Amino acid sequence: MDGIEVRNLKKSYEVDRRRLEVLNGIDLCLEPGEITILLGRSGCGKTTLLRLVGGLERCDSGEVVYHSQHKTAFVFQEPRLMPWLDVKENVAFGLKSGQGEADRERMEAKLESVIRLVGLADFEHAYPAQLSGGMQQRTAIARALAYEPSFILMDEPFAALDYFTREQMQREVIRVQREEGSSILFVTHSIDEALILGHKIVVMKDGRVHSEYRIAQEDGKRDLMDERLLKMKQDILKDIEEQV
Amino acid sequence: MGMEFDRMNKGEKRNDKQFGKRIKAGRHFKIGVGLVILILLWFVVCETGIFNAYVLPSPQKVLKTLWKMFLNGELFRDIWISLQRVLKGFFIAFVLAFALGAVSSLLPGVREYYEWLVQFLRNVPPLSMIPLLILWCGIGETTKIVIIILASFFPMYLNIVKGFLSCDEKLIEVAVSFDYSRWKCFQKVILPHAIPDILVGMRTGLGYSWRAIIGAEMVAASSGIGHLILFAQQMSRTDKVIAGILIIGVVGYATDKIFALAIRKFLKGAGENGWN
Repeated sequence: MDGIEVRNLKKSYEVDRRRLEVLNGIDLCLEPGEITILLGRSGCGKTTLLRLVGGLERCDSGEVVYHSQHKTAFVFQEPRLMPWLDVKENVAFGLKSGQGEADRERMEAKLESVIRLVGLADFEHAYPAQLSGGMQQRTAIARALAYEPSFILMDEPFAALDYFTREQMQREVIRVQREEGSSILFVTHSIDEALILGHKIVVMKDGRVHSEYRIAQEDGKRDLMDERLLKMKQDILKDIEEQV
Repeated sequence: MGMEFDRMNKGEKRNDKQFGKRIKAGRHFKIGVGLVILILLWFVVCETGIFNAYVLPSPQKVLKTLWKMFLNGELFRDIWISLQRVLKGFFIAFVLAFALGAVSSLLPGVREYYEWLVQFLRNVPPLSMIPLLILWCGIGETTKIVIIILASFFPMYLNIVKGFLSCDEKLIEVAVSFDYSRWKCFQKVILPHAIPDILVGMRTGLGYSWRAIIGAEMVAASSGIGHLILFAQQMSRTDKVIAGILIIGVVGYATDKIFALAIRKFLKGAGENGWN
């Protein structure tokens, strides 16, 4: 099979000399070319799972199996931009400097298109401190997209954005996923966002996978008032409320 | 939108410049007033004979001595020799501090082998090392430069290490997520992040180098501002001692200002882009 498999993943932290179990044996399959959403209350282990899958942390036991080569990019909760680099330099942070003239031109074109895509074409020489929180986050998203990853890990990336920019960015995620065929693991608190973006929605509870939902891939924009999605939203809400 | 952004920035910069000029003029005026008051006080104290002219020579006498030293070239010769010693010691101390700081960042496990020694030596006054240094290095230039190194190394080392070790873990994580090697992460994230601290350390170290020059030139020197002061003291020329102190202060202040200017140029509007 292709994609990424998470097998019996366990992770705990020590807080005040007490062991805190965050993940209690997660089994999950991330299909290639799909958007998988991790949904759940705060502290249920979504971000920890994302970091383990991305290799930023080590698990206590279990394993993450990559069935094929992946080029991974992260979009974190905070923009995490280098304060000494301007927007364009930050977006180019993950790129290797091109060897020949053709390489450099291709890189320039890529940077330009990605910066335009996130609506920062007029700010490419601005420093992070000169940008609003939303603009900083858009720069971080552009940095991940410019890297041309096959697997994107996104940790509540649109939380700091306004409604319209968030909608635009969501459309962009869907477009990138369709055009590039990237796999995306996306953490969010918003059920609506999960229903708009996800092919698979994984509801997490007490460090375990509580339930999984599938939404068929469609070409058009999803209508949240669609009966099928409304029913799914109610079911997810019920799952999450059960966790209290 | 871009033009608007540029226009806004230019307008703000113009206002900032005018405001900055007014602040600067006000500061220069205050410095001038303070200086005049100090010289006047000095003059009055000397004229009223509160202190003996041997203990505190008048400002006119010190000025006359300075003028004489200026005319016969003694002043520039001593400044040049001391400046060379300070810069040599400062440069070697910076290279050592940077290298050890970089090791602390790149190989944190190795740091524990030498950190205790650095902390021990930090608390030893460089002047107390003079007898040993004469024994080991003789009375030539080496001892003088080693004293300057000992004085300026520690403030630089502490700032450089602080700069390297205080790098935001979240930024390092970004580099890791893009598969940066440890060396590339150091070059692209840790080093640029540490530059403000490194420059502050260099500026402090430069000041310490000037402060150490008297101690350094106590060791069998026949030239330099430190030697000038010590020789003047032995000849009971208090006016020359004060002239020497004034020269060290002015030259140290000037090099510090030049360095501060270089920092501002290098950081290209640090305040604006969030470096500070």
